[in-house]
This record gives sequence, C-alpha cells and structure tokens, in this order.
Amino acid sequence: MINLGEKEHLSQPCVELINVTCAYSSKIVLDGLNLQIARGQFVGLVGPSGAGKTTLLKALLGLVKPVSGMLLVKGVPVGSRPARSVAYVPQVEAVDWNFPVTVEQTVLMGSRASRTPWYTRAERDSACRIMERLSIAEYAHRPIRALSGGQQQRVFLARALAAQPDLLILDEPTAGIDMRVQHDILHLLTELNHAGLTILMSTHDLNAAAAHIPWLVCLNQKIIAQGTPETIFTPKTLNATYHGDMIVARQDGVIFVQERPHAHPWQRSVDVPAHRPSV
Amino acid sequence: MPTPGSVQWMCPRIALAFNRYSMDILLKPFTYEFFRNGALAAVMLGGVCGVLGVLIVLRGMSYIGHGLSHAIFGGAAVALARGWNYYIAAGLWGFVSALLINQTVRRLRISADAAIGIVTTASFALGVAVISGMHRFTRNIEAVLFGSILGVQRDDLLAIFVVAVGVFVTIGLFYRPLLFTTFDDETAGAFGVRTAWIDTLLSLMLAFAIIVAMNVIGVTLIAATIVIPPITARLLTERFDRMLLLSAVLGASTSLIGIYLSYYLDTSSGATIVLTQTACFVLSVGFAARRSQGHFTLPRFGG
Repeated sequence: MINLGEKEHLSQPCVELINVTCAYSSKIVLDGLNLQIARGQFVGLVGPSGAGKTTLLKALLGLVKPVSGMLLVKGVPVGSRPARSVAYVPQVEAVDWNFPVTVEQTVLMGSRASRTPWYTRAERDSACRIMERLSIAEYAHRPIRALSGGQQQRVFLARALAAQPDLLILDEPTAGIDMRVQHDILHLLTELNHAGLTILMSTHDLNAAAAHIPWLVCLNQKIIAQGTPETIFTPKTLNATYHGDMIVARQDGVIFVQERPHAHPWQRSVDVPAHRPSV
Repeated sequence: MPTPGSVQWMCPRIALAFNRYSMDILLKPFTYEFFRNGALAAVMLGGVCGVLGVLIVLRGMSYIGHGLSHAIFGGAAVALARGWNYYIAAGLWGFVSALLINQTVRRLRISADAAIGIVTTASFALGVAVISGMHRFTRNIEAVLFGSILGVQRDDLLAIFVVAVGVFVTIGLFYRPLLFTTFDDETAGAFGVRTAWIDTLLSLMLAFAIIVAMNVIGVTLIAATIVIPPITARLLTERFDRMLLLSAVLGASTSLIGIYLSYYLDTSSGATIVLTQTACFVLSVGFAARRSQGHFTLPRFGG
C-alpha cells in the first residue's frame, strides 16, 4: 500500500524546467523553455548545432546559470546543493586523452561513496563491477590514451555510473564512433533505463535516436515538439527544427531521416558554365 | 698472508684509501653549515616544486611558475622598498596574482598563457619601477632574481619546511578533487567538486612555494624546477599517482646532485640544479624512446 507521501514522491517529475531562458552575453540560446521529464524516462534532445542542447544540459548540471526561470531536479532547484543525484557524460573530445590515468582511476573519479582522501576497497569493488558490466574490466589498468573511441565512451559512462545517480545526462555520447559501437552504447543506455535510471541525452544522429530513444524533444532555442519518434519524425516538424529540407522514410517499422542534398548552382543550371572542369 | 708489496697485498689497501678519499669527497661539503642548509633547502624545494609541477603542467599552465615568480618579484620589490615583511607582502602579492590569472582565464575565456603574460609582466614591471633608482636594494634584488642557495638561513629553512609539509599534506587530503579537476574541471564541477575552491587552493600552494623558493633558486630559474621534473616523470609513467611521486623524487634528487656538482665545479647552484634536471630529462627521453622501440612520441601536456 502506498501512502500519500510516497505517491507524491513518485508522481514528482525528475526534471522540471519552468520558463528557463539562457544567454551568452546578449545572445539568447534558450528562450522560455518549459519541460518535464518523469522518473525513469529516456529522453533524447535533437536539434541543429547551436540550438542550445549542450546549454540546456549544462544548465541542468549547474554549470550555466539561466538568465531567468527555474530548473528543478527531483523537486530541488539546481545549484542549491551538491549535485549528488546527477551524473554527467561529457563529449569524448572534451578531455585530453593523453592524461596519465588508467581506466580504473578514471572510473573511480566518479565515486562519491566515501569521503576519505583515498579510494576504499568497497569503492574499488563497485568500480570493478561497473567495468565488468560495461565490458571494460579487462582494460582496467590500461592508460586511457590506449583506448578506442567506443571504449573511451564506456569509460565515461562507467565513471558516471560510479556516482550511483538517479539522473544521467549525456552530451552526444554517439559522436565520433562507428555505427556498431553507437548501437552498443544506445543498447546499454536502454538497459540502464529499464533498470530505473532516468536518462537525458543530446544527439545529432537522428536515425539512431529514432531506433533507440523512446521520447524525443526537438529543440531550437525553443521546444519545437516532443513525443515518440513516430510522431516527431515528420518532415514538417524536422523542417521547423532544422530549417532544412528533410526527407523521412519508413520501412518495416524503421524510420530513416536524411536531409535533401543541396545541389550546386552549376548542377541546377541547364547551361554548363565555362569554368566547369572537364572530365 | 700476502707478501708486503705484492699485488694481493696492495689491492685492498688501495681500495681502502680510495674509499676513504671518495667518502671524504662526498662528505666534505657537509662539514660546512652553509652547504648543509643549502642542500636541505634544495631537496625540500625540489620535492615541493616537483609535486606541484605535475598539477601545473597537466593543466597546460607550465608558464605559470615563470610568470608567478616574476609577479611575486613585484611584491618582493615593494616589500623591500617599504620595509614590510617579505613573506607576508610577497605571499599576498603572489596569491592575488594567481587568483587574477585563474579568474581572467575563467571569466574572460582567454587562454592561460595570455592571462599569465598580462598579469605577471604588469606586476614585474611594477617591481622594476619601484626599485629603479633605489641602489641600496640592488644586492637583495639580485638574490631574488638569481637565487642564493648557499646563503640559506635557519628562518628560510623553517619557512620552506612549513610550506613543504603544508603542500604534501594538502595534496594528500585533496587528492581526489585535485585529480578530477586537473583531468576535466567542467565535469568535476558537474559531479559536485568545488572547482573554483580547488583552483584557489592550488594557487595558494603555488604562491607559497614560489615565495620560499625565490630567495633560494631565484626568479629566473623557478620555472624550470616546476616544469622539468613533471615532464621527465610523465615520460616514465602513465599513472597520475606515480607521476606525482616520481616527480617529487626526481625534483629532490636532482636538486641534491645539482648542489653537489655546483660545489665542485664552482658554478651557480641554481643553474647547476636546472642543468642536472635537464640532463635527467634528456636521459628519460632516450629511455622512453628505447622502451617504445622507435614508436615514441612526446605526450602532450594539458590544454
């Protein structure tokens, strides 16, 4: 039997944005955003470069202060306490991979289980279990610069999980890795989500997002639309988000998105210009 | 029993005489108090600069040691001119300069080397302006500029000891946030690490280390003692904790060897320490190249 307190606790959204506006100098990046993410939801943020995806993620982490509005994580305003229940996976390019640390040391950075200056046995065991789950245990003592792009992404993910978060925020976790590894990472995130973790990630890969992420938010300074991939991925919505000419194809329940290639002026022209190179 | 005058009789006696002679050579400098003080100061400073240098070099702020020592020169000059306590005046000056550099990088989003260049050269210029025309301070200022390791007093030793203990204890206590902030300060902030506070702590440790090192090693050579041991250590290990330890050991041992050499070669002690560290760096490049069997590339540092 659930008492009223627990009911309220469960119905409270994990993330809530109330009229949030963010700006760099005088340039407005996010304009009056209102958004709710329920506990246990897996949400993807899509939109063109400069749409404000990373800014939104950083505002939720307390790294960017909004000009106005309020951001709440589990009902508590962001920045009013240490971000204990949130973990972050930055873009892989954001760090120097020549830094002298091993995979295990990197994963342990995320651990907040102990306040001792050194890592305890329990923290090391926990890190080991996480590395085994993400299939990187065999690289535990390897320097991080010796890893492939997919392994680097798993190391960052393991570090975030070492923090035992309720909310996992990822900034383009599928950027710069091949298609197979992309799918592995997204499968992994889906498994974590099924285990109860709330996930918010940004991505540029619309096809992977359509295949793996159950709820998408189209962002371009404002929220253009949100919903399941089936409802969101229409030429009308995507054109409004990307200001481009998007083609959406569906086959066997799979959605494919592609921007219509821009033709060069000389290709459109009937007359062949004099400077066209001869074959 | 070997016959007196035979080879068997001569060899042990030659060896004994040589041992006595070599021990005399090794221990003779320690019969002088100025050398004992200088060697102790050099070893402690070598260790402190080595361990702090790791955090500096990996943040891509190698130039800060050079810059901050010049900035503190401004504080030292003003302290001498006004008759203020050197450690307090230079300490405050150094701390404010380091904070200014950090805040300039954070808030104005300009590169670390540019911020260091602006803040420290302005402070150095102020120091030069203050002392120009005050000839009575020339000798003291020379000591600050070029160091006087063999003129170390008991007060200097005490100050260096306090700073050394403070730095080692602080790095031990704040190992986790220091590592995370050095690796990726933005993500560390997202994980709840108070990165601005950690930056301030590092600035404070660096400023104190440079202040106590300034009279001993000199403004012009401090940068080398902060940069060379960590880079040498980086060539020999792929682990942050080992790099800290190795850099401290290299800094301390090369300082001892350097001061020994300077005694016998009759050269400037600060310069000889730096040259010893440089030789050690060259040797480790060769070692790293040999270990990697021709696939060697220098690791990038920070930034």
